[in-house]
Amino acid sequence: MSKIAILIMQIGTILLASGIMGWICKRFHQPRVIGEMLAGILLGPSLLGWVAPGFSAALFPPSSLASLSSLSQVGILVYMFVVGLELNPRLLRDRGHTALLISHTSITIPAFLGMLLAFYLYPRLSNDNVRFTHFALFLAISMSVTAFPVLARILTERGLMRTEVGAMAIACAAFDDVSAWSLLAIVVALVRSGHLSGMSFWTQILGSLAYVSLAIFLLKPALARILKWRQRKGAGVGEIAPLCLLVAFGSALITEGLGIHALFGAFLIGALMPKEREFVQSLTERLEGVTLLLLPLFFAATGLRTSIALVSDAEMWFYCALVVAVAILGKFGGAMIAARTSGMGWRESGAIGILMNTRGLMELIVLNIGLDIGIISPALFTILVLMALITTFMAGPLIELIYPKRISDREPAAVGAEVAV
Amino acid sequence: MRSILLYISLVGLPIAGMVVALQLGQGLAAPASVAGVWRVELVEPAGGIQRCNEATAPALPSLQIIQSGRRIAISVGEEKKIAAVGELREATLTAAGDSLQVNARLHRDGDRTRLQGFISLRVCGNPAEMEFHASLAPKRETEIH
Repeated sequence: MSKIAILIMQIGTILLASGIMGWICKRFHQPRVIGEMLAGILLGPSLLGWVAPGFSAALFPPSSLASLSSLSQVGILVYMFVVGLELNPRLLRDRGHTALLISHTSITIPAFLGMLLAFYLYPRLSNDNVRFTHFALFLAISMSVTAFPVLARILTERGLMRTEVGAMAIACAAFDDVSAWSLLAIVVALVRSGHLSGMSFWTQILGSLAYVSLAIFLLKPALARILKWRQRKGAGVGEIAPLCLLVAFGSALITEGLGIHALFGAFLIGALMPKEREFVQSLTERLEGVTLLLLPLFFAATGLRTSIALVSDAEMWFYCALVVAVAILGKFGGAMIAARTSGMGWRESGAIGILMNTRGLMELIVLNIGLDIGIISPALFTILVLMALITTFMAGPLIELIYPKRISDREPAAVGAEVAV
Repeated sequence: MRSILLYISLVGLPIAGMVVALQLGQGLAAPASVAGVWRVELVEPAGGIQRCNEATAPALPSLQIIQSGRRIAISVGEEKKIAAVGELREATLTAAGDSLQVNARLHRDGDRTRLQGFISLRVCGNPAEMEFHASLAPKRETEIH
């Protein structure tokens, strides 16, 4: 079969599986994205490769995976641009010092617990090609990620976006995303410096700082002017979207060249785009078509690298349970304690903890980077993917239990709680 | 004042803890790295293999080792299916599966890109043990994409 025929078969199968799993998840009041994540894992060696190895090998021959992976990476670049686009610094500013404390605590406590976990897991699940510093920093980041976009969808679907709890959670998640990506850029630069990028760590960091400054002080106002000018000339979002993507891809090329990963560049441009609600909403809707098609490919590419067979015995399942427990304790516990000590009620604090514990797709993106640059082993990758699935899956039912609609409906609407989804 | 104290205890202390953890962790050691694709050369086919004609003799171009700490999973060639699982103790690697067994050591002079030992696999339906040398293939580009 020709390469293009195989690719079409792969895309068809992935979209079909994602559609079915997404529909099932919707029936159980879960976001569609969880179904898509599950579909990816089911298509990999964990299920399809196990029950029908011949069919799996014919559908996903190793030589064909490069095309699938490249397509999925383009999807993730567009997605990261949209994630940046949806971020609005006003969200955090409007919520004052409480939001600052919750967001900082929901990074530092899980990160600290992630580092303690690294003490235990480094001799057991790593190898001496990986330095402890890189391993520990990566585990710290993977524990502190919050899926801003998935969270926004959960809040919108449950009508919580305009409550104080929802507004606070989304503001903190926005800040967490920026922090996690900045930290990840540093870790990627650390690992890639020298033999992989041909640049020293400090060259990469100083180059990146120079580029980010340039983007904030020159590119951001220039973009705002150009977009205003195009809008005055009557250009619709259909004409503006390709221009925005062009800039995002250009930025991705620059950050990839600087050794801090292409995704960071796309995210940065999204974050620097003008934040008028109508503009963000229409651009997000326009790009949603691309991500709807390409994100399932990313989940499938992730699923093809996730092998539950690597977590086969009691010892490995113990590591898995430990990772899940630490992840929940750090993120849920950290955010809840911060919210409670800031004066919020137990119920509201618990709801914030549950929402901040949602890791979703952002975690999968981070984990794929970790596996690609060799910081985590395939078994630890599988364990962390399971952790991402579990923490995302539990958000919906737990929020329904702790903060049901009858209680959230009684709350007065929060100010400034707007995000385009 | 209360806000500052809260901030110090919930944010400052964990950050200080992370700095200490990073320092203390430098002393930890992880198992030697053996992950990757190993090109296999059979030293001398033995046992059952000599009773087979050449056409049925096994082609063993490479072994792919997936490593997670001490744990090893081995697949043959480009097969995704795991053929044997085992572990790495110091420099000794042992793995066993239904159709493949590997018992090998990293090279004595400390060269960690070379492996030598015995491999047992089914030839003409019978298990055959063969001595082998293997060298680690250069790593493919490890970047994302």
